[in-house]
Amino acid sequence: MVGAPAIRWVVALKSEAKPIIQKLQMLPMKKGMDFPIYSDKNRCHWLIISGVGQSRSAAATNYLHRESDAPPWSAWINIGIAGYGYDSYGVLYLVDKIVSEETNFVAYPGVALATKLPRSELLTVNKPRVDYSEPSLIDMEGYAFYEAAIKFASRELLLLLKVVSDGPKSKVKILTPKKISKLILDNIENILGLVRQLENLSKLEFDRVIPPDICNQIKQKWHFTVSQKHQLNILVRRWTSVFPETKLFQKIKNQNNSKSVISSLSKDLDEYEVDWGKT
Amino acid sequence: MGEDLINTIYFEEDISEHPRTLSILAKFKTARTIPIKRFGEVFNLRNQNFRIQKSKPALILARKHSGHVLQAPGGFGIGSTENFYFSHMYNCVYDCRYCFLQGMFASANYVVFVNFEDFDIQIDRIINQYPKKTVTFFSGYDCDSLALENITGFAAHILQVFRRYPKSLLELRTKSIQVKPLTSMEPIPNCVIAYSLMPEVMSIALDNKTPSIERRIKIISILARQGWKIGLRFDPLIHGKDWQVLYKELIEGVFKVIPQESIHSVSFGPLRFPKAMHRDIFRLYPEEPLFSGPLEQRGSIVAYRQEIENEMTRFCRQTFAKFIPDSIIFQCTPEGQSVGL
Ligand code: SF4
Repeated sequence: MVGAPAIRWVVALKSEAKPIIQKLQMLPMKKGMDFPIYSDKNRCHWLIISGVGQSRSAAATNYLHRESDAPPWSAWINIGIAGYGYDSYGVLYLVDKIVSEETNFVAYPGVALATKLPRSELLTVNKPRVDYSEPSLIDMEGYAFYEAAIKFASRELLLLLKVVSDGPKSKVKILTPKKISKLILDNIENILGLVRQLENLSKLEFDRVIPPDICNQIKQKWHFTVSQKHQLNILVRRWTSVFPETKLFQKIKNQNNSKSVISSLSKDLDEYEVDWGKT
Repeated sequence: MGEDLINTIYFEEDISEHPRTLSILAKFKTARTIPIKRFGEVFNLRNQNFRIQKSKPALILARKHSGHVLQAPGGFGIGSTENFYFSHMYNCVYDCRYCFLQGMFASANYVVFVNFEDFDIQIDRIINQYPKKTVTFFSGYDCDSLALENITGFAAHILQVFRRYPKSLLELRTKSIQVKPLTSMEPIPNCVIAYSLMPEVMSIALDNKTPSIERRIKIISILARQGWKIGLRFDPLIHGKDWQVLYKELIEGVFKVIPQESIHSVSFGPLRFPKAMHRDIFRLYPEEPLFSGPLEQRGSIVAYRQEIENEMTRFCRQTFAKFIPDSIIFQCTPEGQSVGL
């Protein structure tokens, strides 16, 4: 089973991805894939380079979901450069509202992370733009990334970060891959600070969603039907929240079959009086 | 509530100039404000994580368009035949593990409806529908009535409304000790300030972020001395080791400090969840000992085993009856759910 935490990065340009790949010591995955994919050695962080534009970003998000076997507790990050009308070259922004220029649809990523980073709306456009009159960051992927990733994760596990790379005073034409990498690298500590928070949330989600390991051991020892498996997961959760998990196997080891395992655990809980002074 | 507790405020564009919107926004000068069309864009959507949101909820300012005042569920009441409820807010700053809001809304963000005046119109309409009856209104069904009072000012507003209707009854249900609007005005005879209570050890485990039971009781006695009518709400009743001793101590302790003549009513009710709500809350907090107690599914509800429920309600009723007349003791058994507000 894929473990926790699980973080998935969708990045448009190789130059944007480079500082992240280096910092997290990711390596390229097998060749011959539709998009370049990197992963760290624990298979906790996966990164895909999507290329520019909404359709590539959406396709890459779906592709990474499939190729990395992304579990439901994965957090998804889209990071990249963006234009901005205000003179804030190099500043990292957390996006909390995304508007699609094409459809006018609006999306709101979650805002539960603790951060002092400045926040902004993001306008996702289909063609490069040098008109910075909108009071929004401007990119070419954000909305499509959100639309694709929200199918796999809750809003609270989606993070969009943009570094200002161009604006009225900083021309987009003079951007080079080196400059782009530096923009990301200069903000890497702030980026990783947020990623650490996402890792914790991803772990919490894992603990919430996945029944304790001992459920699998029990299922291997006795044969359970599908509905019994479901019942067992719930009973083990309830049992281990008030009795020590280490004693569970001891408790049921002499049971003959799945039915008696279930009734033994049910009986314990039925007779259990929560000691509120000790919880 | 400190400014740092809310750092995002969504507001409906439609009410951006409403005086209440402006005054609430002025209290959060450093918060990020985000205009939205309708609060549904950021509230009750699918793919939200209630548990994560609860760690840092955003505030949503909205207009309530309909359903300002609703008929209370059957089995819910403190003596009147006509019972209604209203909520100026969805969700709560506290985090009680048995709270049905966790299973009712997909979002933990706080929605505050700023158009109090539309609630007033509805209340007036309903009171006029029943000219010969005492109509009871419960505030704080989808929230805590007072917990965000320093931001919303709703209690201060609605209390003045009920001054005009001495024949009707208003219950403000709360666990909050922020009672400034109450202590700074003359008590209103047709308003009941209802406090939810449970034994302290249970409350410590279950009533996250709320004032302690001891502090609640202190505030109740201050309000009682000032002349406010008090409601005591033992709802939901929680089972556990030594529950009889714990409830006996609590009930005796309360009646020792609250004069009987201040008590408008005492109500109590068993812990009950509709089946689907229990499933959703258990999924959110599977490690929670509350769900490891002797619960069973009975028809469409999940509750303590029937004999436990009966024993607890009988015991509490008998203990209350030692201190107050039977006529002001009410058992709430709303169809399928504890109120727990
Ligand atoms: S039970 Fe009441 S006080 Fe507790 S979280 Fe729910 S609404 Fe708030």
